[in-house]
Amino acid sequence: MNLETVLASVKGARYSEVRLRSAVMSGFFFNKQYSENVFRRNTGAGARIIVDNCWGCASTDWVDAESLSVILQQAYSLSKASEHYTERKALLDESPALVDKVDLCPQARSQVPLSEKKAWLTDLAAAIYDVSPFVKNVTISYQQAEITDIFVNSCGAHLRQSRVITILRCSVAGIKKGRSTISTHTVGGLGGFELLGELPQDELSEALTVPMLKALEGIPPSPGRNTAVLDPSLTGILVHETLGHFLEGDLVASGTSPVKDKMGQLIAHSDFTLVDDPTICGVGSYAYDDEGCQGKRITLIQEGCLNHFLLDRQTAAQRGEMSTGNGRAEDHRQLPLVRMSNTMLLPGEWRLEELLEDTQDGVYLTGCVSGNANSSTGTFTFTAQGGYRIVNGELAEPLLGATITGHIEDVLFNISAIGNDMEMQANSCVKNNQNVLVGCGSPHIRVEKLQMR
Amino acid sequence: MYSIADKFLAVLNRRNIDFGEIFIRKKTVAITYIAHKNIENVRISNELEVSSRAIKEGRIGFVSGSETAEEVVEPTVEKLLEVTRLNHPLNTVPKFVAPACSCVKDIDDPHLSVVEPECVLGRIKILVDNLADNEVNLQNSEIVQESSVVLVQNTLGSEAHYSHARISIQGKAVNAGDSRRHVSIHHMLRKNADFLTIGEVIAEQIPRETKAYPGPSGELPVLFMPFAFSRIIRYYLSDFLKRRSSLNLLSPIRSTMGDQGFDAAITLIDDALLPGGWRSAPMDDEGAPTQQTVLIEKGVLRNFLSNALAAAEDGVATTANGYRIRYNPPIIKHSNVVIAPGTASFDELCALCRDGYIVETIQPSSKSAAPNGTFFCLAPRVQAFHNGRWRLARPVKIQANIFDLLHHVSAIGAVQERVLDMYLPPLAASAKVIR
Repeated sequence: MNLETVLASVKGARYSEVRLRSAVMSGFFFNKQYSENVFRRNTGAGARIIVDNCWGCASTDWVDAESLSVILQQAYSLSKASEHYTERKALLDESPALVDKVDLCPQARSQVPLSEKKAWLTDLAAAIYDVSPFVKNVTISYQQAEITDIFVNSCGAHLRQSRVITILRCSVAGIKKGRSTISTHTVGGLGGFELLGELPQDELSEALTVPMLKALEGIPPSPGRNTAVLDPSLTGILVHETLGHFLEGDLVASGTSPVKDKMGQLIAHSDFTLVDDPTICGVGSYAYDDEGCQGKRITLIQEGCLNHFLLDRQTAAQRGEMSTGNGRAEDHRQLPLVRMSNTMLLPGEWRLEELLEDTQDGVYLTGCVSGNANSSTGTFTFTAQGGYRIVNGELAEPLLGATITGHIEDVLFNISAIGNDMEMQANSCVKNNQNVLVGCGSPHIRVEKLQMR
Repeated sequence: MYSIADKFLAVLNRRNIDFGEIFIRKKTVAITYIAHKNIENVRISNELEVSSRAIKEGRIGFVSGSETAEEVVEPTVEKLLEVTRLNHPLNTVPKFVAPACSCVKDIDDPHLSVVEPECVLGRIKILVDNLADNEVNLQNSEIVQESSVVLVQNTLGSEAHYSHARISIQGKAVNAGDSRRHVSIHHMLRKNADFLTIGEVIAEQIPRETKAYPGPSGELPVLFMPFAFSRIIRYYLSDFLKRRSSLNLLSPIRSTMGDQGFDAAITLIDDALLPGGWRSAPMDDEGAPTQQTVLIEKGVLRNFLSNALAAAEDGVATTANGYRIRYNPPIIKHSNVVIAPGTASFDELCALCRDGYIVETIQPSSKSAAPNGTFFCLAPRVQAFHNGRWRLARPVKIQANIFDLLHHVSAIGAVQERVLDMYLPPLAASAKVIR
């Protein structure tokens, strides 16, 4: 099937494009009572058309010339008909039409048999159960997706991109003397099973069980304002949810982002530098986004100053800029939206030991079990998995159920130290009902006067 | 659709399996997003979901995809048998049944089906005009028009399929003259007639007041209106009522079957047979005939929701709550949740909560409660009794434990309201309110 020929069948459109996706996913999900191996093969195509001023979009799960013609016709009709109902103009920036064929991780395609993967995961579950009799339930989910995207547009772009994304989520429930808690850990990135096969299982099981067992002994922290050292997983999700979304071009364009008019202004502590980078190894990696634009490293906040927003082609055109390559869609059915890829708070100079020793009275919070952020106001509430009180620079009694709350500005301007470490978390992010994988990288940070409940 | 299912089962049968199943869902969805009165974007999605399971030598396997070409049948069966071999043997093999209905069954108003782009947009125009007549605009709202056909066929004999069409409208409705007067809307429609008059229904929900007063804080009586109550049930209770949560030791009420764990005023039923219900269907996605399941009866825990696998593990019958979401194996999900009404009038409920709040909506701080049932949420739209009348109050935060909340109920309203897939009355109880 020649996509250019199919696309050329659309007459009278100002712009047209077709995205094809083929994704093969193999996954395991199991706990001690139940296991499930799943295998999925999803294919499909999405089309977008601008006839005059409006977008028309349609998708199909059938990939053949006839089905593509149907969706192109549907998209054409929607674009035409929308003229009567909308004042919003479809815009496109001046991004070049690219032609390329790229495989981001060819080595990951060496087929590791499913049986070998399952044996490794079964051993991991057994290792976690062996740590303590208080470990009552271990749930492990492993997913590997081999994704191939083809993008063609009426400007001459033709891109073919293949990648493999792997993600492992472990969750451990612990019960002791009537108290219960859950610990979760997620690892993943661009690549196949080899990403996990190199991880020592004892380190993984320790990362899961030690915080949980400590939390079972823990006490709730005293409410009030505290000096808090936040670990990378908690910081990563906090920065993503409460700051990263503000920097997305569509929120800026709609006027709901509180930093919409602050380009070039100081919006965070002067050691704070935030980047978004789809070119590094993370679950949010890609070479080209779903609008055919090249993904690149963007410095969003440079030493505390707002430096750049994340843009897709529409929001870039609105601002008279070029797309930053952040137009991402969950799959062929969905429309590209401005999304983060791998967002990282760059490390500072403090070693963790120095950071703790320098804290006379405070808390050290680890992991994140739940949370909520309002991306139009900047307020947040996150509950840490566990942690410790810090007394005279040393870790004291463990904590259970510590919840931090406040406004992102409380965090950004009250950072007193940034660690020299870096940990990249694999997370999924939902926006407008679309779920995409994102990397959240961060070092440890210390925040003064953080409100705790 | 039917020929591929037949062929698939024929190939599976030749491989000496104990059980084989194929599920096909064809769906056309039209999604319109309205940012501020105007259509921001509209798209049509032609979807196909095919998934299959096999049981062989006590192991179960699952594969899914979006292909129905004849040439994919053999490789799919090979892959299915490979993943089946790899699974742990099940402690108890599920007892599947022949699918529930043996004829095409249109369970919805055919006028709602998605046909042509012009039809999709024409319907949106009716809605927008209808709202405009009632001085209402939509903002940040999504209108989903959906028609689908579901087929389940297995090696036990018959096949079952049904079709339905429905429309959902979710987002924010704003008074055309005063943008400070707005309300969150969540409407699910399965009748064309409802669609034609929805503007009037939405207009009635828009509050008349905009100025908010500071209310009290502390442990206070709170009247949870049906929308707020439905969110509490959805986010903080429903997971604990699933047999899978019980089996995985994640439900604190797993050992309380038959106990009076809730207030005697609480009766909660999962009812997939409710006429016109958003999730009403003749069978679940495993082909089991749907039913009414009493989960809590006068405060006593009576059952958990199950799919075939969880039910088999626990040695009970499925409650036909196996739902497939986006190519995944069937998970346990509620159908229509019905909470029985009480006897209190709205005025009586308000009188009980005069020292506290009326909570109209909540925003969960997380998608589930803590393992012990405690939760914390924002209540952005509340009313407090001020100077002799109920007035709009500033948003508050609410901290409670779902089991305590439903164990110490002050009163339940006499009138149920429909909120998405839930049918429930207002509930008065005590909760910690933080201003």
